[in-house]
Amino acid sequence: MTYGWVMVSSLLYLSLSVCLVISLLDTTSKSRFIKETVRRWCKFLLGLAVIALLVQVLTWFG
Amino acid sequence: MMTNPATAVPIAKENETPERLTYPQRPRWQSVGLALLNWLIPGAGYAAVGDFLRAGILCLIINLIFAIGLYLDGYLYVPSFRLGPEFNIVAILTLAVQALHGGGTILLLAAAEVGGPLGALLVRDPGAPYSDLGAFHLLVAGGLNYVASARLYDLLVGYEEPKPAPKNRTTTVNSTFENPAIHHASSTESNKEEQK
Repeated sequence: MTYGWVMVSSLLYLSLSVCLVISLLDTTSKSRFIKETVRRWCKFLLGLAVIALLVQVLTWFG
Repeated sequence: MMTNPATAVPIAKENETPERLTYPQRPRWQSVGLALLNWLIPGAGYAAVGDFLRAGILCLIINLIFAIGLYLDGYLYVPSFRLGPEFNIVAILTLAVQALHGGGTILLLAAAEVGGPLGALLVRDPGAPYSDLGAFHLLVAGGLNYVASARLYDLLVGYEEPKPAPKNRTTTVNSTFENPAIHHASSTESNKEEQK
């Protein structure tokens, strides 16, 4: 596995872990736990994608 | 769901799962002790209050991140705390967050101090290709353990998040501030209509 793929895998794994822990500490039912985790993970990844895009755009002007 | 008006704690009916997680309240000193236990061993505080499933999952998730961090040659760097050219606030803050995984941090610092086979196993090379990524895993493990410990404390002392303000307000704030009589008149009219 190349260096970049290790980084991307870590990003996915760590972001999922953060969402899992937060949902675990917030919900009581299994279905709600899964739903909340997926919702949080999607929002988290979307936010990270926006930041990545912004950084990439800024490198063109740097 | 019903709510006990005296304590504002949701009362779950039989066979009904409450939406929010709640624990029986405990004294503050006991809550602090359990949060510290959870800081030392992730999930142990939850196990101590009898929530074994949540404790097991937390222990697995947080310690797995910590173990992967070590596998990727993650390291603890103890920076200089003296104010001088070598002072590095980022390194200090990194160590502070990593130390929120209490047991792991104590183990790594002890291994670095003792050396021998334990030191060879746990003290990694900071110059290895993935060592910074590994150190970041240790950082995330510490941060998550802090969230779990703080949440446990909140649950045990009975802290509740403030409820958001209702969205269906009919009276605008500006009219009330400009002329309170208008608000009073309109509210009186609405009361009359309600009485009818």
